[in-house]
Amino acid sequence: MNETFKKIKQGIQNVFPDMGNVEITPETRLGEIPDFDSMAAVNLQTCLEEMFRLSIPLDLLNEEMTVGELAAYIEQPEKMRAAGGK
Amino acid sequence: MDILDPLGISSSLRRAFLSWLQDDAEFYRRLLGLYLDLQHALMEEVLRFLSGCKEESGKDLNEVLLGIVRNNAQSCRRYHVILTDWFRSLVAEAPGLERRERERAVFWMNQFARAFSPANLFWMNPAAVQKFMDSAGESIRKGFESWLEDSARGDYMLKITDGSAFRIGVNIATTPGHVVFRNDLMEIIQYCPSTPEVYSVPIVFIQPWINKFFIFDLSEKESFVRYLRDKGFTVFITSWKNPATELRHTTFDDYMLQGALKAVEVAMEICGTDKVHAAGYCIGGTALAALMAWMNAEPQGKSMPVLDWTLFSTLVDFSEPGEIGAFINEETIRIVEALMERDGYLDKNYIGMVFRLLGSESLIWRTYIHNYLCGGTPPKSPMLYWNSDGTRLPQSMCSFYLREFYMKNSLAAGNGLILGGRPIKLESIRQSLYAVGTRQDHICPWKGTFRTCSKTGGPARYVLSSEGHITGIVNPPSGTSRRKFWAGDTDGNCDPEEWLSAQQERGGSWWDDWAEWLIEKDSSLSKPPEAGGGTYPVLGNAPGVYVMEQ
Repeated sequence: MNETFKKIKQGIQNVFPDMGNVEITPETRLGEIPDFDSMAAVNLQTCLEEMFRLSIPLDLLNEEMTVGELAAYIEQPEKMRAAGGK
Repeated sequence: MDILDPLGISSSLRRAFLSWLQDDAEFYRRLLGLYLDLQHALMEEVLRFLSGCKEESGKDLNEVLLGIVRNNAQSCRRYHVILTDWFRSLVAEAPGLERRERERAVFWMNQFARAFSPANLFWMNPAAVQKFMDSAGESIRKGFESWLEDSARGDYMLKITDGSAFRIGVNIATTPGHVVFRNDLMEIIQYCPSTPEVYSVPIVFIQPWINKFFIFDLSEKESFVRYLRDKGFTVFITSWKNPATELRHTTFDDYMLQGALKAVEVAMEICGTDKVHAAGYCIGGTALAALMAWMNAEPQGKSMPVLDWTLFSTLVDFSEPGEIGAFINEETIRIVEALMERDGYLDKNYIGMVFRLLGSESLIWRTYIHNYLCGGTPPKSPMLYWNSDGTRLPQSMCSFYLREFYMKNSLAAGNGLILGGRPIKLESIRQSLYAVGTRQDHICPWKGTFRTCSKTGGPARYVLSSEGHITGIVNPPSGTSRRKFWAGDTDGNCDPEEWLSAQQERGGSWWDDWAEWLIEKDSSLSKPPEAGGGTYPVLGNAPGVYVMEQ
């Protein structure tokens, strides 16, 4: 989890360089990223898919999604799919 | 008309800044505040720099260089935030500015803030420098090649998607169907059924003619038409011709009567019904709203062919058009009209640039960093591919649309608008309406779409979806969806926020809610209709030929 979280954090900082000094923690919601919108979600989706070689549904990357939940999905996508995205 | 400032950028900002002459004491107080904030930031950054120097010993050169870049970038970002916040508030709170003028100034101020972000400079972007080091300079070579390729095309548009990954009809817009009608303006596609019985009342989609129809038939998983077909609906959709000079004189009336109305007639004849569910998206929805009023003005005795109607992210009241209002004034419309005079259409690159400016953070600057500074390949996104596949707009229609709807708000104002020879009165529409707005919509702000419910004379169900103009509508149900929506009946005569606070938040997509609403209106079943037939024989396979036109 820690390793995945670190990689996601790096990915977010790369895609959103204007994050500035906003601390990224597992509780950080994607909606806290400056200018995060549905098109920004497409950018993040591409970055994460390239990074983890995994298909990430766009509808998962909602502003309510936390970085920790995203890491959990990346580690065990089937588990979250079975739980209906929760 | 200012040739050097056709969009009125400098004039709107100049007026905002000059307005502070009315309150120079407050201006100087703010200036002092800015000076103190910068001074404070400078002191902290110097201290941070000095404390960081001790940590550099023992690291290799690349790590040291990257550390310096990160520190510099962090400092610059901090100054950038202080300065842009200051300028933004100065413009947003400028005394005595008229609302539209203020919104225009804020819009352009935001554009400048994004353009001057330190992250847009190679040495201020740690990710770009890291990529450069990791790839031994290859990333910047690739970035330069991408820039050369974009420049050679001459449209000044960054490549937002890897277009080579998609072929229309092969891996995008693949739902089986047939072209059952074609005129100079559009093709109509009828999709093949996938269920042994279908609902007797077909759905007719009136698509926007800015961009192509296949936004409702992207990949299989995202395809709205495939979803409805699998639910047991017969689906028809308009695929508009990409207009060239010969359609110079095509009017909004033509889109309404030779387009939307014709689509309804074709669907009814093929399905052997006297009713359809009509649905329009964006400008297609505006045409549908006008058509609904036009049909309700029909002399008595002729039956109404639309059982119910649906609008997706559609404005009929243009009094608050959102950020797009930054581009709409008498001067810019005159410029647009002058641009169209020679060729008879508005070029797709102008339209594309406006939409990119509306989402400039993602569609310009993040792409610029990804493609040029980091040497990345543009993403293989069906949605971005659709976004890049723009269309032109006919001169007469475009001019009318900007003047009558955006400038005069004629459709909602009830000021005697006549289309197709009949007065257009929205309050005359008696059929049930299902209207969908999306919370982050820059093009059709949801509160504007909500007002449609109060302008028409029939019952209405309003749905607010999370996400934006495209992703809120192309919103398939899925096991992982974190999206949300709020739905409820309304007459639209209340504050949209009040309505929202009274609705229950629901998870996932609103598509199932819409399908249930349609079935409530008519649940009769019948055998699937043949493809085409009678007056409308099959002319070819979906997705047809108009969608291929560049």
